Formats: sequence, C-alpha cells, structure tokens
Amino acid sequence: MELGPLRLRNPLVLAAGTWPLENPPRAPVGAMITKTITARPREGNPPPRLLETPAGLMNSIGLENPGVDAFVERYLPRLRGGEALLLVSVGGEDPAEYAEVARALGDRPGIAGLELNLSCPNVRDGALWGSDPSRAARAVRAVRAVSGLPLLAKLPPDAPALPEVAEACLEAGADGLSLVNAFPAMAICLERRRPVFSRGGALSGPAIRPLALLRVWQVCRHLRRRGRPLAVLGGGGVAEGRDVLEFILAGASAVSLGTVTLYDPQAPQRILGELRELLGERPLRSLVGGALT
Amino acid sequence: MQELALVEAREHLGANYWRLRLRAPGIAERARPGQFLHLRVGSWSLAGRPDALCAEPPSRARFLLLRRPFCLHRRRGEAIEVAFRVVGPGTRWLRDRRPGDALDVMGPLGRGFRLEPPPPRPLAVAGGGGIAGLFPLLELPGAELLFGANSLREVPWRLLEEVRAPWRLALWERGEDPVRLLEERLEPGVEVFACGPPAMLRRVTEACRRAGVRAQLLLEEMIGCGRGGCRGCAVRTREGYVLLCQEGPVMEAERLAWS
Repeated sequence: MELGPLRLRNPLVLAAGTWPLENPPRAPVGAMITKTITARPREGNPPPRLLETPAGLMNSIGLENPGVDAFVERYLPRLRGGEALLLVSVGGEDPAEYAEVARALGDRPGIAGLELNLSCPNVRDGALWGSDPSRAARAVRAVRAVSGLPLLAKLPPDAPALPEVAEACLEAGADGLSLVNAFPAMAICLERRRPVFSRGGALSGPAIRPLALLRVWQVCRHLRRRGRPLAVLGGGGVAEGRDVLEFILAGASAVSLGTVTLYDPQAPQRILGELRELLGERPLRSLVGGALT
Repeated sequence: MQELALVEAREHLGANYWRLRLRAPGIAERARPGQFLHLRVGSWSLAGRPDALCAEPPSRARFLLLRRPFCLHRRRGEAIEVAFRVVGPGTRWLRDRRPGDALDVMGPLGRGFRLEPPPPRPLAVAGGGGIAGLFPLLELPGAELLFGANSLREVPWRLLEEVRAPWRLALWERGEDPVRLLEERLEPGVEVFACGPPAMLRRVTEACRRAGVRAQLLLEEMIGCGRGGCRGCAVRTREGYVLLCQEGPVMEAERLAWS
C-alpha cells in the first residue's frame, strides 16, 4: 500500500507506544511506529497509568521515553533491519524541541519516516500543538526545516476544525496524516473522590472506533474536495479485518493497530487472515476512499 | 508463550476464593513461583465446548479488553493452577468456567521470587487475595504463614486446610493485625515474602527495615500488555520507574519508593 512517499508491504501499522523499544516484535505489518521520543528523557507519570473501561482502555503514561540521544545510541541499532518500515514518533513542548529531536535523528539509516505527535501540549497555555491550523503548521514547518524524511502529522481527535488542521499540516510540508490520537477522557475514583489520572487520561480501544472513523472520513472528504491526494494512516479501536476495511473505505491507505495488540499479540496475523477472507481477489488499493460521498 | 489451556478442574476454596486447574504443558514447564500468567477473559466462546452458547471467536472480547494477571498458585505436572477472589467482571467470568473450556493464556511473565540460596525460614504475610501467589512458598521447609482477612466470612477455609506449614490468622474485625504478628517474629535468619494491599506492604517494609530483615514483595498493579511495551505497569522505585511485568512482579522491598 502507498502512504504518501512510503511503500508498505501491507496496510497494517503498529501504533506508537504499544511495543517495547528494547524488544521489537517481529509482526507481519507494513510499518512500526516507535514510542514518542522527546529531546530529553522523560520518566512518565506516577501510577496508576491504566484503567480498563467498557470496550476501552484509558491511559496516562506520560510520554515515558529514553530521550533522543539514548534512543539513537542504544535502541535504534536493534530496531533497524526489520521487514516492516520503522517510523519514529517525535514529540516536543514547542517547535524548537520538535526540530531538535528531528535533527538528532537526522537521516540515520533504518528510519523510514517520522510521525509528528501533535497531541503534545505547549508549555505556555497547555493547548495541544495539533489543536489549531496555525500552531500545527508551525510545528510541521520547524521539523520540515531540518529533516527531509517522510513526515506524517498525527493529530489529536478533538481539534475544533480537524480538516483545516490537517490541510494546514500538508501545506506546511507534511507528506501525510496520522489520524487520530487517543481521546482525552476522565475517570473518577469513588474512594478518593479525585480523578484517577492526576495528569489527564486518554481513551483508546473498540469504544472509540466510530469516533475515530468519523474524523478520518471528515478529513479525507475535505482533502478530496480540495483536490489533494489522500495519504492517511487511520486508526482508533481497530480490532478485526472488517474494522480495517471501514477505515480504508473512509480514505485511509494504511491502518494502525494499538490497543488490540496489548491483549492479542497475534492480532496482525489474525487480521491479515480476516482481510484476505473479506476481500477475496479484490485489491485493497481499489477500495481506498470508496465511501467518501 | 501463548497456549490455549484446557480447564481441568474448578474448585471453591471458601469465601469468594476459587481455583482453576489449567492444562498448559509449555507454560507449566517454565513457570516459577512469583511469575504471572496473563489470561483472556470475557464473553467470547470457548473452543472445544460443543454446547457453547455464543460461537464467537476469541478475538471479539467486546467489553473486557485487558488480560488479567494471576500469579502461579501451584503446578501439578502439566497443569498450572490459578487462585483468585471474585472482585469484578473478569474474575466473575473466570469463576464460571467449567472443565472442558479452553482459556487463552500467556506466560509465564515477569521475574519470580529470588529463592537462590533457598531461604531457611521463609515467613509469608498475605493480605486477602495475596495468599494465592505466596502459596508455592508454603511448601518450602521452615515456611510459616500469617494471613490477614477482614472477617471470618472472608477466609478461604478449604485453602487453609491444604497448608501444611504452620499458619496464624489475623482478623481485622477482632482488632488483629498481621503486621503486628509479623513484628513479633522478625529476627535474623527470617526472610519475609508479602502480598496484599499497599498499606499493608508499606508497613511490612518498615517493620522489616527496622529489624534488618530482607523482604520480597509480590506487587499488584494494572498490567497492560505484560510485555514491556505499553509502560502501563510502572511502579516507583528509588532509581525511578520500573515495569512490574519485566522486573517484577516480585520486588525487593528496599527498592520501592512510597508516595
């Protein structure tokens, strides 16, 4: 499948933050996206970091990661050379940090592209970098200025004008989009009468699939109307072959798997089998955007 | 590794404690005390049961997503046993399994108890459901058990009947406290193994530190992937966060940092 300038051997992608850098899985996927890497190491949030909800999972991991220098020195060598394309998720508190990470990653062999995590909040007012078109464009431009790698902009799901944010990212130099990040959500502990996650939680899993799918569909419809080619990695709650097809028909050319791999490590193999059964002889490529009216 | 384990037996251990014996040769061969098994639970069908009510493949667990972690309770040849208290929808579903059902099990995960060299006087302190994972230690020579429960109604009598090591019960409703019993027994040569509510573990840690006695704690925390990927099971130690599914679930008490 083609995702902008990237050629994937199949449409499945392992989402950021779902597999260990120390021990990359050998899964039959087209690409694997690392945990979001920041300029300096981050230890993450205090426990609890997880909470199961009906058909969902809330998390508040806190972008725990080794920092870009340790990532390049200690983890990247072991991640290279797999059959799946390796994309690195880039995070930051401001455009300068995004650029710093992108620059430090440079054009190291083995990195096929970058996914820009625009769900990071900016320090000054806490708004997410992907929350409005001009902020998102600033972050993308900063990374584009220092990196020629294929770049996907991963957007937060509840930006008020998501299609406009998406278009602004492409204008600013992104090669494609990754839709969407997990949904900001809340749970309250009855005993302590306080939010379970002191630093905010986000919801993923099957419960969000219809919500994520709507956003993919809205963005793709907008891009198509503006005559732009579709280069979207879609996902959110995908658990079966039929879910993948929904996102493809909504305009995605690749689909990410996240929460499902936590409880079903065989998910990529299983889903490929389910897709084969559903598609028969039809090439998946012919279905991209088929439901965009 | 991942195995489809056949339920061989289901037993009621008293109060709301239950035990399942699962035939899983690969996992049984590898599992060590203190390691955990990661089980799929939820309303999906069970392979091999001709009278299954809903024939949906295991992938479609709609409501209960995460696997549930259970420490190795006992090994019986090619079978492993897990023991648990029914505390929520996952354990309730497990309690309703019958011989002939098949469960999707991953494991063994994590690092177990450090038992080399073998502790001469292992003293197990269990709070409620914590007794399940400490059970293998009770077969060690010199072992002793202190078991804390809220009330008589919450004691798994059938399980205690199987314990050959000497044991003492401490009931909160009588004002008894397993940590107090522990303090009376702390002396050089004793090694403590504890599993229970965080508040109890903290007091066990403090008591052992005062007495200069080593303690290994079997910790419980939400576990996500169980494989080091999601970083969801982090606990705070003096050197920073550590993943329970990788370096735990057994941790040296001295390493932990309490908030």
